[in-house]
Amino acid sequence: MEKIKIDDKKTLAFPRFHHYNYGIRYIVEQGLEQRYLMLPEATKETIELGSKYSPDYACAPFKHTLGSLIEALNAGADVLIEIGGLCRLDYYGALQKEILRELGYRFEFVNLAEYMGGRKKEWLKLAKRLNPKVNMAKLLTGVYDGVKMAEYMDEIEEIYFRSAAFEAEKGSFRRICRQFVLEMQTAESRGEIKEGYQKAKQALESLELRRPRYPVRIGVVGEYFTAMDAHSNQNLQEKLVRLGASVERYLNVTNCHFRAGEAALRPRIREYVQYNMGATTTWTVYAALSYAKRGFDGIVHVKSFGCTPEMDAVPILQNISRDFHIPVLYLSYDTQNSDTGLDTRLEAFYDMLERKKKVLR
Amino acid sequence: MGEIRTIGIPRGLMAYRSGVQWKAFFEGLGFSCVVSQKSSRETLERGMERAVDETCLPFKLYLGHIQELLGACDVVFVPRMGGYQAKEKLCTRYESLPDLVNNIFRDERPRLLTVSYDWNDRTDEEKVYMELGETLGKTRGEARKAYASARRRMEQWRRDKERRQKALLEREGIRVLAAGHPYVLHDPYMGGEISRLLARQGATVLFTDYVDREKALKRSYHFSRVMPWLINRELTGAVMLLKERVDGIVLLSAYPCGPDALVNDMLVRKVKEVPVLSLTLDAQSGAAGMETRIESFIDIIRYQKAGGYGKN
Repeated sequence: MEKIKIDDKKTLAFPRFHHYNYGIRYIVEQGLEQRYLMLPEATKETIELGSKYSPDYACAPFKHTLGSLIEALNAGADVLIEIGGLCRLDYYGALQKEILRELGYRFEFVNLAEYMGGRKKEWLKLAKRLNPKVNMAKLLTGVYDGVKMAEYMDEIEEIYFRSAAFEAEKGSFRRICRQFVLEMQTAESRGEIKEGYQKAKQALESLELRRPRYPVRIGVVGEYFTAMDAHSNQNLQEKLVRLGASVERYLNVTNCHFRAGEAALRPRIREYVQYNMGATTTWTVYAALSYAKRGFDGIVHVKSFGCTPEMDAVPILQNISRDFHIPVLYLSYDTQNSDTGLDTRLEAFYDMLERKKKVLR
Repeated sequence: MGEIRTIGIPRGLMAYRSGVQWKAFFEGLGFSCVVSQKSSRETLERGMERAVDETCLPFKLYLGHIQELLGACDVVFVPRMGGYQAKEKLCTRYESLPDLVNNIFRDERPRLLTVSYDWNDRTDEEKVYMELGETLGKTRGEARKAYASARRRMEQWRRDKERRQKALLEREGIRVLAAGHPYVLHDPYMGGEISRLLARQGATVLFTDYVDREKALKRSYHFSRVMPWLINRELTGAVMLLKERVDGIVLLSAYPCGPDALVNDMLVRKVKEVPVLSLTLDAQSGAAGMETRIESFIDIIRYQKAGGYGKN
């Protein structure tokens, strides 16, 4: 049967990427005034689909995002959007488009790699292409509010991972965050975004904590996609929280794109690094060094297998680890990951940190 | 910086593309150059002790070359090369090279000679060489002169290779194009072995980097507008230029090469006119086990040439 069209809106889709799809959806629906296809949570099947059609040595994020795009097409997306970046990510779109076409799908493809670093005029042209009747004022407000939503979500997440391990009432942090995510999912205006954020932040701050005198603190650093995307890193941070740790991750969309840039961070890691080493390596080294200096107990370095820029951060992390006597756990993700395997490694790491702390005290 | 007399050039990575120019430039300024020995099993073993397991084979070899040079010269030349254009970058490893070497060999306190550029700097080759000359304490005039003559020397070297390859294209028999990064194609420990195997099967071996670079680069934009890597551009451009004139293509990649992993997949999807063999070299086996694959590839080409599979 033909798809029933109740209006002439297009359905846009973007690969799953942690909690940022809510912000993207907001921009598409409120700013661009088109329909957004919100994918349900990824499953094992997503990555199986992605791996099946990807080149063997492509990095895991390529496979995750390809899996998402295939699922989006199967769910009825008309337009697929893929982004670019400073590493292999810049070529994701071109290859994924080719793979999907060869699979026989018909769709419109927007490869943002063609626009990034380009002129504003080109972006406006793109907006016009996606919606010929686009209202520029609305689009700008939509983008602004969508970004704000992402920032709020990053902030709430930060609070959660820092303190959830010490909640007095089990499940109280989770409950508030769930409600918050639901509100971001249904928000249709700046007011609703703000209200949801204020409510959640207030509720989280008034929760009773039973914080031990010397809690184990762990910093997570690493590759852009895998470190942020909870599904890709098998809920690493949640696992650490459940072991009893306070967890921080400096790397998020807010800190990467809307705060201090590479040039501002690099002077602070001068002892180790002189130049921009590419992609997000400066963020990784900066965060690791600041965790070390702030007396964190351990660092977890997360990346997908074969990620060149993050591989190049490893020798520097090894030196930081030696200089500050801070243990670093290196995790390299591919698409065949066992949950139990990760649990065992994290448990051992956490126990080691805890014991080290006791002995030193 | 203390006085510099000898400059060490590691025989790895971009030395296979620009080494002639580097050496001519330094010598033109009155320095003597020490180039490390050709790669061997020992080079690799030395490099593997220092490298993170997951890094690519050429980088492991490169570290072996660096280690060989430490103590054998006053400074080791390790430039930071990002590429001059946003769509003509190098792999991010070239951006991190000096910092990587400094951190990996921290205990040895290596003295590196470096110069840095990337596409954000809006610079060009001449300016980069001027800066390098300045670091070495030479006047702008001296640097300019040395650069001009080094460039001529490089040009000559390239034209010579190109001319010889053109002559090979006229040869009868089976012609196979080896496509890959120059440091994979010509390193005796990596591509050198493969070329030898191909030649032993009676094939004439051509290389993607012995094709006119500028022409190949231009041609690559027809293949892809967004592909961000210079070397992969030169490589795909050369494949596009030569694919009708060869009987087979061997895509040679060193494990795990980030850009190759994606671009070679695209190449295999787009190049349907000639048989393509995709070979990945790793630190474990080197070229062993490749022999059978190359043999059967040449068999297929022979059969095809004799009209075996008909027209495709």
